[in-house]
Amino acid sequence: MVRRVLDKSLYTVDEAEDGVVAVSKVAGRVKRGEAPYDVILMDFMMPKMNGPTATKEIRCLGYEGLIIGVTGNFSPQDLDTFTASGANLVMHKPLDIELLVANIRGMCRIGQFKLDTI
Amino acid sequence: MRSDGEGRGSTFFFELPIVVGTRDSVANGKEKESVECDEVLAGRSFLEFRSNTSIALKRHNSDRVSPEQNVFGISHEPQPAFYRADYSQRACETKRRFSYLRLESLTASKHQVGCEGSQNGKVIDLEEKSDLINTSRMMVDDQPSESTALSVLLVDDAGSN
Repeated sequence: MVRRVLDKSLYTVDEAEDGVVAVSKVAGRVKRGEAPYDVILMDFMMPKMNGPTATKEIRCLGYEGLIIGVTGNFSPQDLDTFTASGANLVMHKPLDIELLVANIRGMCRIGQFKLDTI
Repeated sequence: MRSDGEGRGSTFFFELPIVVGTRDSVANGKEKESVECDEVLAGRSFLEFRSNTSIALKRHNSDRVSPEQNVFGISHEPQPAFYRADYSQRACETKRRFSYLRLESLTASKHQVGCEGSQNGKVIDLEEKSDLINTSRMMVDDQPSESTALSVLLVDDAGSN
């Protein structure tokens, strides 16, 4: 459902079923010299590698784009874990799609602004 | 003895016919020349939009013209077949880039040289009008589209939201 909405919002959506695949996809782009993802939407609970760990690994690869963590357990501890691992923003499930799209647009604008002014 | 007119230089006007077209036309097997003009940025030339179908390139030549010279005898080499210009609006942090698509090569040019000078040679303005024959150009706005799709990596196992 999230993918359908993002597709409708003219986003190019790639998918990874867990943290390991996500890290390998980001690393693959870096290795091939391709443009990095603009946004990574990262779930907290996943098999093989959870969201915060994957986020940390991706940041270690040098990814500087927007990472939005998603969790069903919106506790302060989850929030801290995600943000400490490198997430820019944490949203809770069920996802408010309009808020998600607004956040992506807003954060990307802020990121662009920072890039322009540095 | 130098006159007052010596330091004025001369200004050349080149009126280039353009055809406003679409980007699709550019890819239609024609030669595309993206525009870069250091002269514009350096202040030696500037573009002047006169209408929807013509664009004038004004070029200031700093070579001094002595009033003793016979200005009608000055020979002008044909100018390059195209000009490149990078039109920049730095003040508002936006940059527009124009390209000219040269559809046919420059085959000939006419020069009409006129001279307005007073008897004592104090003021000399030299204007050259260049008509480009059998040449049409297409100006293309190369400004990147702002509606570029963002790439999103959705990391989620299939069983969740």
